[in-house]
Amino acid sequence: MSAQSLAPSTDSAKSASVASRSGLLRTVVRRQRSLFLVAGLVLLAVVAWAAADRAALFKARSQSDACPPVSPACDVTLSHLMDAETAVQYFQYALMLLPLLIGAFVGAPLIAQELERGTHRLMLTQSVSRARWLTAQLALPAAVVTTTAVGCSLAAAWVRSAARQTTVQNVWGRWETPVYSTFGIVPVASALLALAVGVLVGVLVRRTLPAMGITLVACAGLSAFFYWIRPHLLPVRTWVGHGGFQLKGEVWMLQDGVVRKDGSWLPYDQCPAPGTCRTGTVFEQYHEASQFWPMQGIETALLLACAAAATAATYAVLRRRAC
Amino acid sequence: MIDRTEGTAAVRADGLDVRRGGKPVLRGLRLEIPAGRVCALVGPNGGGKTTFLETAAGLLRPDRGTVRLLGEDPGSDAGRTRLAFVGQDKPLYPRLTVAETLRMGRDLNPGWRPDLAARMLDERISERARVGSLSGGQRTRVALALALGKAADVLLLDEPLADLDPLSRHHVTSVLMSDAAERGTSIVMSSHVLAELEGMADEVLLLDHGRVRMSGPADEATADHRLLTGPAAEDAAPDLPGVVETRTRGRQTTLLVRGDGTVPGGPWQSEEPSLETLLMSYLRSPEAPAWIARPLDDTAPTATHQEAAA
Repeated sequence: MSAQSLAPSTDSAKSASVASRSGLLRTVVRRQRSLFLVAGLVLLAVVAWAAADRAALFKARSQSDACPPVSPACDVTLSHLMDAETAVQYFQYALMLLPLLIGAFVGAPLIAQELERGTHRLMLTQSVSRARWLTAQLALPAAVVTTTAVGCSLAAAWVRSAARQTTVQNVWGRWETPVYSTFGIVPVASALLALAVGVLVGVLVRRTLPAMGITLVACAGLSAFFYWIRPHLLPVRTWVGHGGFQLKGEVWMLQDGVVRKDGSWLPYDQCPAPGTCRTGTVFEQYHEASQFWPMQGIETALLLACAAAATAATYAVLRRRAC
Repeated sequence: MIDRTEGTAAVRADGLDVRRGGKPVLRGLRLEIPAGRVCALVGPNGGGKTTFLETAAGLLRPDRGTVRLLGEDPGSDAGRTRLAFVGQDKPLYPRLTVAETLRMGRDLNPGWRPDLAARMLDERISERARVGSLSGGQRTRVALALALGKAADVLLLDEPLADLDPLSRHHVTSVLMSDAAERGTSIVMSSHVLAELEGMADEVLLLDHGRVRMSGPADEATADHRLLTGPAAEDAAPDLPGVVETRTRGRQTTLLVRGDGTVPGGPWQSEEPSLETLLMSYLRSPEAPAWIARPLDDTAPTATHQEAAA
């Protein structure tokens, strides 16, 4: 094919891609405007919930300070404090569910709905390539989900700091699963993975409702997998010595027990009978405080790698499969 | 400006095999629809019309063979900008308004012509109405407006007139015809009701069982056949070459014969068949060889070779 004959079409294709880059974005924004609304409402609700939990904690604390529950007359202040703690835990559980909901309600319908209604045929016969259409379709929700997840992570940290100030419970440690999963950068990466998985399932299943259901199951499975793999992401520290618990700082205790006379380790929860675990030497296996952020980093990298793989698979499926 | 469409087919399929759900739908399709023509794509349901149009629009990938639009791969950037497609179910985003839908067309197509899009609409379709609230016929008009506004060189329309009332149908056909006349747009439109397209199509393409049964100019097709009517007596039917179909009804036998040549004398009357009669005869006679006005020559250079030679 001569360069001369090819030139006009190449030119027009080039101008097409330049002309419609912002146009494509405008179109996708117009299509997904309800997503902005819902994301805004979710963020607002999360912040309001966090503020309410904090207020309840501080109020219960001051009541408890004024009337310490050591006297029976003040028992009620203790129960208020415990209620406020429970409310924070519900808040954390709700945030742990957020990735699942993002996968099912944002990710799964994103392309599945287009495939189900046939509107992808409309888009794929405009002057925009499949890959660019998909990129625009994905980039916007990814940005919205990231923003929402960052906001939720900050809200979780905000509530946790109030809980640590007001209660003596040790459930607010960074290593506790409800804290770890809603704190720092891991929840943001989890949300993005859920989105990517939802989109992939939608492209494979091509029907919205089944895709949503399968995404819920898949995302739950992935959370379980990451829960299981988490302790193995970094080397476990071991301490062997005399006496009881001696670890300093915020550690993640994985296992502790006694070292028996034959040198074997017996975790406390496997002691055959009371008294058999009384020996001088104990062992402790744990992650130390300084491993927290490296572990969050590694887990985030893994989550994002899975998200990238799911997205690559989405492109491949959409490129190959019939429309 | 040089007309790049000259000498290049609007649609050219070469050995096109397309499977759907594992079942072959198009079987070695070879055809050429010249540029600048209005082509009626007809055939029974399941004959391959939709699959052919979707493949030509770059939505389906051929399992074997090629399809080219004005010499371009319909899946390429260059091909995609030059075609417009309206699917059978006229997919649109129900939550967008008509105005937003047209703005989407402008945003996604560099050559967008709002004046062309506006021709498809009328005052009864409010710009502010949500697409989901429109009637089926109005939605079709919006889908066609989106396609027309793209100012494409080839319009691929799957059953565009099916859910239009007679008045709208008249409006839509006249807009399409004037676009073809003014801009030289090539139009391929399908229908299973030939009457919808008769009179506006100057090219006919009959697909059945994924194969071409007829392809060529509509007037040539009718001129190239003869409808003979005569007595039903058993030995009376003349032994002619190129008989497509023989039908006996009561005391009368009707023969559809290919070729405009010899007409048997005696009681036999000869006339030119209507296009509909012709198509029906071919559909009822799967054994009859296909009528193809411009057979694709295996050794003929492809469009791209011609361009290179030019």
